[in-house]
Amino acid sequence: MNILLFYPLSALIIILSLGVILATNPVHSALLLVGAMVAIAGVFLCLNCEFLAMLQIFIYAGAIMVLFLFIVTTIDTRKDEKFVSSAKFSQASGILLSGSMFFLFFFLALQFVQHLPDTGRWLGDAKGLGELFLKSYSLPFEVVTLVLLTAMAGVIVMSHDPLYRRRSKEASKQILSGGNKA
Amino acid sequence: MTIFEGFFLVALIGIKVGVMVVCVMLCMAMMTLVERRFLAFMQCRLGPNQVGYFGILQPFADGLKNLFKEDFTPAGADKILYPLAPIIALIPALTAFAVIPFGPGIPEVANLLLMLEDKLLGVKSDLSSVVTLTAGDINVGVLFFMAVVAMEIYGVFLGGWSSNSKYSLLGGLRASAQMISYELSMTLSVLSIVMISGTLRLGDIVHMQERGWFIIIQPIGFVIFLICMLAETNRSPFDLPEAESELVAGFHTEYSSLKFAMFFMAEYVAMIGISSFCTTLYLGGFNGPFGLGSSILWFGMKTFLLLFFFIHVRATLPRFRYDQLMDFGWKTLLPLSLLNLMLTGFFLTVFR
Repeated sequence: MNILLFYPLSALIIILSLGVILATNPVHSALLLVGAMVAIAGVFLCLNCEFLAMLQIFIYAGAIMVLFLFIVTTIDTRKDEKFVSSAKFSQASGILLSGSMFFLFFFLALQFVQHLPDTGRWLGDAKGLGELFLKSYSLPFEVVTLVLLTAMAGVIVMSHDPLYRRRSKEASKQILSGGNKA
Repeated sequence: MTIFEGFFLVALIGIKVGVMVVCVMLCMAMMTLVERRFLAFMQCRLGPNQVGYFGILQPFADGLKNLFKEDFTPAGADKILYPLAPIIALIPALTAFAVIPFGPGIPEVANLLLMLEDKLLGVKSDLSSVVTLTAGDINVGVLFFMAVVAMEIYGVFLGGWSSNSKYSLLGGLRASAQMISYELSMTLSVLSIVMISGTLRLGDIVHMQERGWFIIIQPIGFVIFLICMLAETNRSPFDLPEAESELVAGFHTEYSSLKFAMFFMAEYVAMIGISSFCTTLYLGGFNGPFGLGSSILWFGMKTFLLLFFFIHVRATLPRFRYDQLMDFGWKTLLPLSLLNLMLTGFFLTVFR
């Protein structure tokens, strides 16, 4: 772990992440999140995990965040709209929750930071990662893929509800009948 | 590491990067001229032939012209992202060249560099810089290139969004949807190459092709890559993001002066970059055909052939309709590339 690079990168990640939640424009926050993803890839590089770093940029910054931006720009957001909640209760609960999470992670990190494994040996290249996935942890890996597949199938089933289908049919009928009248 | 050693290391990398960027930019300038002259030839026109011999100075005249044009910012444009978008478009396009092995290493230069490093830094440097002529032959080169190409979407998309114009926004949305769709098939076809070679280092992939190019055992993959290459760089017949009959000029409608020039440069640099990548993966990189030695000239010739293919397609084929583009990408190209991947795996397990 290169400390000289780690601290600037961590500071950058924290600043960018704060920007994500403080920016009033949703496109700006999405872009700051892209920046944070790339900075996290930099931390992976410090840990000698080149493969993970490249995947981080390729998948998160290059594919998932593009879809995020796609949705953010196609839904209607006015520029002067402020994403600030005014309810006292939600503010207090938010501060309480994030504060407790912060201390939880802080003490966990303090406990585990002394004996971190040498990740570079395992995750540096595709071969090491493949051996971890397909030899040591093949069953959890397959279970995770099944969970993801189930989630995807669920989304497809939910977005194809019969009500929606009927409505869309009606819409096409409307267009057709309108065309006939004209 | 002392400050002097650090400075030396940075200077060394800086020289490498500087030489490469200048070469790529010159190629880009010449590409614009070649494209205009060849399109003119295909359309029975003359094309720009007045500035310099054969119009060879035309790209520089165009650059100067763009420099002196009015730099216009539309009302309601995003203050930060509008000027930033052309830069975001150009930087990943140039960064992608960092891992491309252009040619076999020049022994004299490499030995000099190694000697300097040994004397000044006292370190034995990575020998890969001697074997191939490249800025950084990293062990995840293929992934690096794909990741950087994936980042190219942002410039186009942000240019479209920040202009506060409906034509621009539609162009940007089209570009991002198209690039995401075709990136899948492209990655899958590249994956077949990685399966065969068993490495992600581009230098090793080139050295494995000394006896035979990968296009011989991956013909389907090559064709898929070729089509995705056109779609990834928003070139004809997939140039829907800048369809002039529907969207004026697409994502760069509101841009003028140097900002427009930077979008223009980004497109051509991305074209050269992805052609170099295709040459490296499928056409043997800097290896000559029939064992005719290896030289940077072979690399240049093959890359130019691919670039010529880009221009020829633009002069020949009409533009796709948007639903045709999506149908083709998801229903034809993606299953085909999956089939190619499965066939590659099958033959690898049977014949190895």
